[in-house]
Amino acid sequence: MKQLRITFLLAILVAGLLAANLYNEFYKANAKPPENIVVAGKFVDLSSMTLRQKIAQMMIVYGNPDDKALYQQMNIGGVFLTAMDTPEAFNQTTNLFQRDTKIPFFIAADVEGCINPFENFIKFPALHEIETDEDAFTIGKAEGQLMKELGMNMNFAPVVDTKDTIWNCRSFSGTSDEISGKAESYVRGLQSQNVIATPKHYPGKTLSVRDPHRLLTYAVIDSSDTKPFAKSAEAGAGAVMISHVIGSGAVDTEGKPAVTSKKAVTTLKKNFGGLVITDDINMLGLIRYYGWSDNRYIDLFAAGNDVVLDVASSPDKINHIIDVVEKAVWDGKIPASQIDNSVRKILKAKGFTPI
Amino acid sequence: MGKLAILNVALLVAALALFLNLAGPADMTANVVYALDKSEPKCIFEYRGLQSAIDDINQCCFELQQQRTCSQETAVNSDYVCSNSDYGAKYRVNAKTISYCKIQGYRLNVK
Repeated sequence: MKQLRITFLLAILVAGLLAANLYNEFYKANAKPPENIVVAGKFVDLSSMTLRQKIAQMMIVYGNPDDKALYQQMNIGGVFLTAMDTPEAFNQTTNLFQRDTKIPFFIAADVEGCINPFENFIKFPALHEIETDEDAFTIGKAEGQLMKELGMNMNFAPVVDTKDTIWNCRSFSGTSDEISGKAESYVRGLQSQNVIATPKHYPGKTLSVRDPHRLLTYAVIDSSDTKPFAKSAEAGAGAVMISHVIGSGAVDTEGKPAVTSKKAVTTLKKNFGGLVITDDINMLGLIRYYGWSDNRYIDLFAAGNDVVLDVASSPDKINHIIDVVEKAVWDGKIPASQIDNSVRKILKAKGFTPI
Repeated sequence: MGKLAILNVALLVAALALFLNLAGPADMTANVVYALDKSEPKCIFEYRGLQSAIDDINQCCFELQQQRTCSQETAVNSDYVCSNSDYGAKYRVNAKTISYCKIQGYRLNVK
């Protein structure tokens, strides 16, 4: 009798797990592009998007091809790609992501020179090896050209921190003025190929401040740190990436990671009309401040960032983030108009006219 | 063993397999490896002969996810070397880092 009871319970467990597995596969296989979003040529009716779809459009996530259908259904804004063996592999992936989309994905990567996802088939010099503004333009243009050929439209580069004492290769070398000149030229070169440049990591000093106790990262920011960002903005950079540094001095982040400081983001936006993109939100600089609380997500969106980068979370986790932010909007913690403004900027960056 | 007992074992195995398919076998293995390994995660960036420690281990995971492969190596201070090619930048990490990154959700191409 006891054995029979165990058999019965195990059978229910197996049936439940089988149903869950089948539902998972069915859902992935039948995810469809959102039909409610109205796109007519270059015009997008913003009011046809739900709040959840708008929040999703503000996210760039890890570009797993298996998740494409789900992310398309959610209206995710972009995907981040990592190294592949061949140019053909990249093209296959980018074509898959952009197939049958109403609103194309941002397709982004870190192409920084010494960090190079194409390194298996093409080398680029490290930014710190670039000596002149002309070379910076030429290399920016070459990287942009390749990215365009591979179907990518956003580069999380150039690194314009004035010092890089951690990797020793990621940033341009020289004085703040020299770095600013190279940054400006690189941005012009890259964007001449219709690839969005994302100078990083605002407000600076992200690659030179080490915390021996592995806690939060504090830095005193001065004008030499922010000048490369100002010059990049003058060059028309389409985006800038904001870091988790807790800043004081020229950029006051209110004792919080810059990425969640409304003051820091607002200050940045006063002189920069492009997209403000967060550094990846799973880094310890942010997690150590917030722990695993959902407040992290609320503050990221409330601060006024236009795009939130999350390359570690699964689709389920991304869905949860959208749940949290949606509720925060309904609760009045994040103005709906702020979400709308960011989505307008995103759509314009993608070549649309939001109406 | 009675027929019911055999059936119960079979149902248990089926339940485990279905659960692993949902949760992801890599996650389960990574959790076990991480729990058993008492060392600290280590991450060393190497470029043109210069080495540097990456203290933010989640930052390291972010970078490892971008590498084409992570292969095992027998070295004093690392268990794996992760890179995009034979001649460029490399990350030398220990097994603890690999299992930590997997638990955090990063997708590593470990060979």
